[in-house]
Formats: sequence, structure tokens, C-alpha cells
Amino acid sequence: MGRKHELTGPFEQLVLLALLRLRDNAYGIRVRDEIALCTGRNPSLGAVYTTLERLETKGFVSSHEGEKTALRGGRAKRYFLIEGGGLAALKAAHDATCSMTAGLEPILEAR
Amino acid sequence: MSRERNQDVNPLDTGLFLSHGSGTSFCTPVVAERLAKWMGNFPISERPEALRYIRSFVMQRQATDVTTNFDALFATHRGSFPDQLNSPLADSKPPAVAEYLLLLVPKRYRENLLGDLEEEYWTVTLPRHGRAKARFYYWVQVLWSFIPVLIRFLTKMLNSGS
Repeated sequence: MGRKHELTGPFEQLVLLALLRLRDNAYGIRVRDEIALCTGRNPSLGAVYTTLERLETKGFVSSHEGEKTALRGGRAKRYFLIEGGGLAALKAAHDATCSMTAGLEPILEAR
Repeated sequence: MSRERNQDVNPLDTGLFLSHGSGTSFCTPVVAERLAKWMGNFPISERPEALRYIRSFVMQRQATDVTTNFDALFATHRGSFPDQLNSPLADSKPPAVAEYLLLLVPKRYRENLLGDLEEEYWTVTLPRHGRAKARFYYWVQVLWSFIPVLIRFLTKMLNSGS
């Protein structure tokens, strides 16, 4: 896998994991809330969308527009789905983390 | 709180009375705000759907046997049905000027991002914190979103220039 097909940072991993968790209900604000709920971080929607844009450019995710609702000022939701490449990149990143942390559990869990 | 109807009462401060078959039921300010917002924002053609939503919302949250007559509700309370519902709703809208800050967001995502911000404004911050704090929070969210968007924009500019 070339470098351009790798995840460039932990936030990209978090966003992809949020997409996996949310399945077919993954749109901007839900992704941000899922990350906040699971990690305690509170990323901005701008950060979420710029990351999703980057991931879509890499082909890791795809998106489609949903319904327009009055609650959103007549604007549509954009739903995101993880693609095969994104799943593979996520697995590679996960494997790398597991390899690097192997044997370090006592230290990491003690902190 | 008095249960007498008063045309001058601001529903966002005091709540509303829901007219129905067996009399009236009191509707809290939060619910009143949602009702008013929903009705005010819907074009006439979509109002039956909005009414169904509001009715189910009120049934779940407020009372068990209310068959709400919304036409009567708005006619009674505001003196006119939603077309001329010039209530404090207009002031409750999120600040439109803030949207201009997000012009740097790629067009493909801009409307979606703004929609998310507005959805959060109406469903979370406004009912929970009131108008002033909700508008402030909206501004914070826009500014907070502007930073990564600006960085992304500048990065793209530099990359395309080199």
C-alpha cells in the first residue's frame, strides 16, 4: 500500500471508526457526536468535514445526499459510507498499533 | 402560572395552551418554541406533515389523550394562522452572518455543514439553553469550524502553487 493510501493521523482513524459505528446514519454532526461520546474530545464540525473530504479524495469513503428538512433550514444531510480501501487502511493502522503496543500493556494500563 | 389565554403573552416565555376536544392543555415554553419554529418554517404544502410530527411530539411529551387542534391553537393565540405568525420566531433563527465565514468550505459540503449547525441549533442548544446562549454557541461553532477549513484551504493553495 502506497503512502498516499495510508491514514495520515489518528483523527482520520477516529472518523473512520465513527463511520463504522454509525453505519448508515453517519452524517457530519452524528460523526462529531460519536467521537465526542467515545473519546471525550470535542472536534469542530469543520475538522470533521475537512477530514471526510480528505478521506473521500483518497477513496476511503463515499457520500450521498439525503433528505432536505425544514429543521436544517431546507438543507440536505450528507451521509458517508466507508469503502473497502478505508476499511483496509483502518485495519492496517490497527494492526500497526497492536504490534507497537504488544508487551506494553502493563505500562499502558498502569497509567 | 395563569391558565387564562392572553393574546399578548409571548409563548417563548410562558408556554402555550393547546386547544383540543376536551378543553385545553398547557404546553411548556420549550415545546411552544418547537411548535412555533416548525410551523413557521414549513411551506404551506408541507404543513400536514409538520402537523403530524408536532402532534406525535406533543402526544409523547405532554399528554396522553390530547387531540390537538393546531389551527385553533394558532388562531387563538397569535390571532392568525402560521402564514402571518410574526412571533418571536424570527429572532430565534441562527445568525445568518456567521454563514459567510464558511464560504471557504468546499461547495460540495458547505450546505451540509450549515445544515448540521442549524439542526444542532434547533434541536439541542435552543431548547436547552435559550436564544441568547444558543446564538452565542452557534457563533462559537462557526468560528471553531472555520479554523480547520482555513488551514485546509491554505494547504491546498500552497500545494497547487508549488
